[in-house]
Amino acid sequence: MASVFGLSVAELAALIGRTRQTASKTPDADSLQPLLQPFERVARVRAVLSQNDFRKWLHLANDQLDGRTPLEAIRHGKVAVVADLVEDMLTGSPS
Amino acid sequence: MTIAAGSEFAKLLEGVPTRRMRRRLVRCVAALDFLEGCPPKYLYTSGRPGRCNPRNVDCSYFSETERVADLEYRRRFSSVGAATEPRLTFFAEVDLKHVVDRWRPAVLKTPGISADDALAPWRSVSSPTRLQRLGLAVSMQGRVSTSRFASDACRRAGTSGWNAAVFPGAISSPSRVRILGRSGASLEELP
Repeated sequence: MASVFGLSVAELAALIGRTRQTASKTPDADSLQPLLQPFERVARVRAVLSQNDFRKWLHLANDQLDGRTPLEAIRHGKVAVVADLVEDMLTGSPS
Repeated sequence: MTIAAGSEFAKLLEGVPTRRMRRRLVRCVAALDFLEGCPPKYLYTSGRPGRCNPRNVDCSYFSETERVADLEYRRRFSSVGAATEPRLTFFAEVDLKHVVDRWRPAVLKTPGISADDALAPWRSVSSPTRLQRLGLAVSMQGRVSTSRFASDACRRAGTSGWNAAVFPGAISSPSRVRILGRSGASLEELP
């Protein structure tokens, strides 16, 4: 999951409140899955974006996020907000 | 959010002017994502927060025309070139008895409703907006079922257009929403 977002394992672990060791040793642990679920929801946008465009989108200022990039919002603890935005993108939810 | 958070609007909803809406509504969705969904769903009812509903309050959103639905869809993809990806367009036939139309002066004069509410930022706010709290109140009564509101995507594109937020829990027969399928048959409907 870290590589999908272009993050290090240590940074992704920090974002979900775990240590790099925990995330590296037991990436499939049940306790990690709920924490990773919002990231999976964000990654769903790759259904319509190539990996390159996904990375580009993560780094582009987004008016729906008050001008922050999706990655900045995620780093500020707003991964659920970005995940909601992705679902709105895919389902064309009016703004 | 608590029930009390929407109670400030309960009285307002008893007296706010409404009108009937009988027309087709439209929604564009990403085809590649839709095709991964199983079973398919068409109403896209969700408790995700939206302009008119707070989290965990179910709502279905539509646009009034294909032009508006297209702008709403393309707005979020414009920066990454995916606006040309295949998309699907759904049409809903609606007959809704009590719609709060935020274009009507009589509605905008109602104490507690402001034209500014409709275009206020909502996605990143720490607590529900006035429009979302109104949505919570709508979900808890049986008179008003729908809010018609201006499209922010259209405004940003320098034009105007309208969307509808339908609250499934507030719809009762004879009001209804039908997603149109083959030869006008229903793919999915409310209530």
